[in-house]
Amino acid sequence: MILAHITVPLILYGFFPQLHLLSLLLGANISSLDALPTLIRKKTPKNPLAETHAATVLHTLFFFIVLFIPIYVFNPIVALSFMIGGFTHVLLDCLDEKGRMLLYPLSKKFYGPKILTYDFWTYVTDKRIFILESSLFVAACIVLLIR
Amino acid sequence: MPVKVDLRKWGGKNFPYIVAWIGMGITLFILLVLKLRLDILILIGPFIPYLIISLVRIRQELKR
Repeated sequence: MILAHITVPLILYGFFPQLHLLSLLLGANISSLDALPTLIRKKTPKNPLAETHAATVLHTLFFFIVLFIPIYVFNPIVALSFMIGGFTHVLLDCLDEKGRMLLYPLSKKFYGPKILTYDFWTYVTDKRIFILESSLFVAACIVLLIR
Repeated sequence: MPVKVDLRKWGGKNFPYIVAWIGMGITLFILLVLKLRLDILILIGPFIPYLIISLVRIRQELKR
């Protein structure tokens, strides 16, 4: 998922305006920080599905549950928004063929329906995915314009 | 499954998709800036180095 990491939290914010928007968006995007090794690599690994992106603790539900507790002490709404945002990222990502470590630390297996492609180049030119992402984009724009 | 891509060829063939994705991205970014104001910096700050690395790599790939 590309734009969906912004558009889905925005749509959620449209339904639940009591959530803290910035925390929701931060939670929904912080997982992408593990893409750095993928970006700076010199060669495509033999098995690209084994690369670092999406295979770290940042792409687990566990990470957001652990962070929820200390943030909750500071501000419960911020903590809840951050956790929901993070969950949307991990759950949306598990739709791709790689899946995600949903049960980490109990299991390091990658789970998910695996219905979308993981490869960036195929992803951005897939008609079905484009229709899905652009529909979410329109919904998110409506939320931003009316809220 | 992952595909090895010649960026120049791929870009020429998929130009409408590229324009649409960039258009949606920029529109969303502008709407978010209008909504979040300066707070947008907290959101995009950590990703600026990623953007720079990506742009440099795309440029290198296109020059090849």
